[in-house]
Amino acid sequence: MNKGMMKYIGKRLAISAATLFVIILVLFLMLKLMPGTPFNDEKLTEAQLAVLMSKYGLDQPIMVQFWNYLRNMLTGDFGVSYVINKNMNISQLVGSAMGISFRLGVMATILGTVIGILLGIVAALNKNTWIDSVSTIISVIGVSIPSFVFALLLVYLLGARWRIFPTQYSSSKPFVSAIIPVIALSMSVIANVARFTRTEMISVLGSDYMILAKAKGLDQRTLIFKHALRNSLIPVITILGPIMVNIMTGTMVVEKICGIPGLGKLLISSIQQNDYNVTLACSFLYAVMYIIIVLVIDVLYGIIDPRIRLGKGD
Amino acid sequence: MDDLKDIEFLPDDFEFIGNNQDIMKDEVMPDVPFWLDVWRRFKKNKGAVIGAIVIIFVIIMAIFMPMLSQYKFDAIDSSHANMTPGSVHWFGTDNFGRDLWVRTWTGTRVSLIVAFAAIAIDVVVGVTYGMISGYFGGMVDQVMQRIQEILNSIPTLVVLTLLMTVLEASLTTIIFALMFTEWIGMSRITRAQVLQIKEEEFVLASRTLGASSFFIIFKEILPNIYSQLIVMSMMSIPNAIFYEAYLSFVGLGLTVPNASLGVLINDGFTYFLSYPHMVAIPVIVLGALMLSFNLFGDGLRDALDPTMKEM
Amino acid sequence: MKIMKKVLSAMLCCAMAFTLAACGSSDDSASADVVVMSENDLMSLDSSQATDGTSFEVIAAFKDGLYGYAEDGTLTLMLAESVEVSDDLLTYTFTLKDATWSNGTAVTANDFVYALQRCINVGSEYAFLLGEQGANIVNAEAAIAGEVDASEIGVTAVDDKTLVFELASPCGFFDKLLAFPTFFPINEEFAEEKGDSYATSIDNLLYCGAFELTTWELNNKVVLTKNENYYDADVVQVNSVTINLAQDQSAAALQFDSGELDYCVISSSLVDTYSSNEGYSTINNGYLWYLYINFENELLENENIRKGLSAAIDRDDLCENILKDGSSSASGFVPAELSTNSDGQDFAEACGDLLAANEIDYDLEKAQEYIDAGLAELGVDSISIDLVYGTDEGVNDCATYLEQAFNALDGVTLTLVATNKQARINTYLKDGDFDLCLTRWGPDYADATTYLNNLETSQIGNNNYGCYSNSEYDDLLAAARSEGDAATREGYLMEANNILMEDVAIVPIFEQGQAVLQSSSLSGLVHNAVGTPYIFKYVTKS
Repeated sequence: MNKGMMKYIGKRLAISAATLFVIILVLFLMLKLMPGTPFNDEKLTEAQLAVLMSKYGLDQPIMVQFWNYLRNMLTGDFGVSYVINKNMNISQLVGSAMGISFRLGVMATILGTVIGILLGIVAALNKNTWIDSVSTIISVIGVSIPSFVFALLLVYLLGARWRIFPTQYSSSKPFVSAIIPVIALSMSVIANVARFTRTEMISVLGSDYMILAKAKGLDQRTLIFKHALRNSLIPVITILGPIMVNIMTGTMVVEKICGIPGLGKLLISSIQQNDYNVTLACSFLYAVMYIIIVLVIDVLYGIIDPRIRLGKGD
Repeated sequence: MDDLKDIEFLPDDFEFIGNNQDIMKDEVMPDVPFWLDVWRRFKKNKGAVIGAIVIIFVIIMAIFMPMLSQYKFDAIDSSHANMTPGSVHWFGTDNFGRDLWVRTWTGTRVSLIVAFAAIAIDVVVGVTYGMISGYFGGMVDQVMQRIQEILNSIPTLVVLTLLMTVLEASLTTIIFALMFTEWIGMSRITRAQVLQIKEEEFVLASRTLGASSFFIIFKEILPNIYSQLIVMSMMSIPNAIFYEAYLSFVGLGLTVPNASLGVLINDGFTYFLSYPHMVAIPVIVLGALMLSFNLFGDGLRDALDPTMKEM
Repeated sequence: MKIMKKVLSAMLCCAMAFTLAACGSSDDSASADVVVMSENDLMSLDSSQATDGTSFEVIAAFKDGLYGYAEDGTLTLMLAESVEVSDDLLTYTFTLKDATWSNGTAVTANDFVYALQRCINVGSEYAFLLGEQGANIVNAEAAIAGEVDASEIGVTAVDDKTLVFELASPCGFFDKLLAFPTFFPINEEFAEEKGDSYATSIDNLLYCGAFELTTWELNNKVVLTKNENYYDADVVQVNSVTINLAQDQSAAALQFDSGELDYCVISSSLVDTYSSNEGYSTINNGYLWYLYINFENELLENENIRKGLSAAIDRDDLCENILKDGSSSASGFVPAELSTNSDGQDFAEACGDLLAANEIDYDLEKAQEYIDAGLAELGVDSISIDLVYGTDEGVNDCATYLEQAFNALDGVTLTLVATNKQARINTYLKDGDFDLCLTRWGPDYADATTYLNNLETSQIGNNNYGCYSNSEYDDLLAAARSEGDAATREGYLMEANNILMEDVAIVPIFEQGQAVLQSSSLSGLVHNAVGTPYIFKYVTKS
């Protein structure tokens, strides 16, 4: 890793940190300006409300609250939940939700990438045949139809009609019950990866060095797996970033359909319950993950292929 | 090199690939208007044509079906509740006995209105932002780019979800929320194009002749990027449709008695065990619309500018 | 290339790890394990702060109060061995049984004293149950208002086994209150040691009930395992009770079909499919849904308009054809099965159908006449009103129905204002920014006053959001409060209940029911419409 690279990473990190600060500030103000309090029981009297507000420090000026929040956050303390699992540490609450979302996301990415690559290779090797057309149709459908539609379809068919897999996530069967959401989430990955692999593979197969390799008399297998595949797979890394981001948002809806106690579900229920701290932590985490994914992919790609580095802004 | 001696060429090693002498022949193409050219290229793309047909069909249905039907989309008739599709109610009825044929097309209409309105505003906001940022450059550009970067680092669905909790759910607020997130892509494209075009000679010429910045931006630069914008808009519409559906699906979108595809999916979802058609129909319409807009957008992109790479 | 290889192998490792983890954690279930579902998440395990049914039923499973529920659902002494009540009904002296917390220390009278003081100190939503609205313990009202210290309230531990309550006025339903989790004991030493983290995980909690909490997976499930040290351990027939939290009802129904679930509630969307199932039944879950009317609005101040609105709602149609979950049409402000009068008759039943008696039951023609008369009195051609409801409260169907019903009246334009529960209460109700508001009230204790108290003039600014005021009504409630004779008191309350419908102070809509599926092998599950929804102590599974 050279100096330029270090400088580039440093600059990106600084921008990311500044961005995160602004995000917290905006989120914080936005949530504070929302009407109402997290304590919304009909039966609560004004006096009790005042006790609760002062207990959690919600009666202080907004900027003081923000400063306290920020200070605690830097020590890893995101405060406590006001409504959902009352008084629980947010890190504990959000941590357990994120673990599940993250695991599903990774599973979907792996499954989707593997199938996508295979599909892409098969399509490229059988260019302009019916196999290619089928693969293209799968790609187009996968790219344009949102994952929750697949989730609904799978829940209905595999879950309710044929009863092969459970329709809802269950921690006691974390693998079997994750099959439907993982397949649903991986559809767009399969489509994107397949489309990309196919294009790359075709262009590699047609490149000069492949013709040379062919001319050297290498057999088809070595040709494809040793030369073509390797070179066409590197660019696939570039689309992994957008894909993972896509999955992240996809989980927000799929979690509702499949009853997964993940980050998206937590975010939505915290919003409905006006549980500021949880909402804040969830949104913040989403932003952090998003930024990290984009950053890692950019840097990774810069390392792999120095030609395409040090971008023009984005 | 000794190996070469062993190589012996046989007649079978060669194959006749034709007499290609004429490929260099010059031909004067007839002068065709740009739009005709686009249309010709577009027609060749089967997927795009099918997409366009489906879109037109759905739009026509969404406009006219609610008017033509004898049922009202929000008329409750509990004696006809939960009917499966049949000759009286073509798409069946929901738990209130509301006709789903009318509700589906009314919902589609609302979803389309939301999507088109949001994208139209997106284009205006995004293009203006991108133009100002790109054209003036320097500090203005720096600041504007940072703002955009920050907005862009929160996932769209999170921004939308948070916005809808602060705003009260209605057609206008949903359009507003969608506008908040989708313009960034437009502004990026615009900025990139402006950065490129503003160095071109014709802009320099215009400036030398005393044209104002405003004039240059709108008369010289804008016409050069409209085809990209059209394509971008077509590609954004399915996103907007999806986001609206998402908001309604998680209960932050349109509310009773309004219907949109998202609302219908949300309503139908609770009934999917007993009456799967209630959720299947709006999901199919939503899927078909998104697929068609994607195909159409793809085709349009290739037709408008065959050299344009995938965005 | 190497990087690619590493990334791929790392990915494969991850995938395998998941697979292995998945295999490792599949459990072999013993015979007497009961699995039930809750549609809601568990919000709090802190008995002095919990406010929702799911939390209550879990707390009541691992902790006992002075009173609790017997197998037949009647009240019985639990942690208390005996009780002595003074002649003036103001002093209750309890003697405690020998019971221990899960850390081995004894359950003492001080645990109850501490729990109640803590309830006031942490600003619990249910602190009002100690005050005038509930038990009216000496000084409790002042302590809630912050005027005196919580240690001043009239609950004292004479010694480890003797607990004395002093009330400021007789409370006819004090035993029912004591069965409410807010009144359950908390070990002071333990709670103080844990501080803010008390009850936030299974380790930060002590148990003295039929079960111990052995697993709590957030937003997913809790497992209650039989407490071997429970003083009444012989009664407990099952190894464990698992409650699946925040579960989707369709999924629960599928699991019920496959035998993975012994008990589940289902939504009205599933009733058509499951109503022929042998395990199907409906229960009353105690809530009354009604419309708050804003009396500050001059249009709604008109009694004919209010009568017209009430008469426009076909409650039977709504319950039978739309809700279908066992909900029944409301006939007054106090729902059925809440409390039993001294003569053994249900309070609501004794009141009769107050809507019909006051001619505000469903009759579209009559409704139109009322509206026409009202419009004439107001001197306008038409009125336009809005109705606020929360989309997260499960009453979208009802709101949709009301929108149609009211708009069917000539001269009335109703606009729905959809919001969520917190905004409905904090923004619309508290600020008086509504015309009509669809709201519900769940009983806190089994007495009509849990409803009737809300509409007293003194509750304006509190729960009387519509600012309804009628001095005759106030007088009746005051008279009932100081009345020692049960029958006379009930007479006052019934009259008060009738006044509300005469005035159309609120528009009752329906009493919420719940469709449930219960497997034939499960029995002994006690269900309450008031307070703790389910008692698991007596469940058996064959």
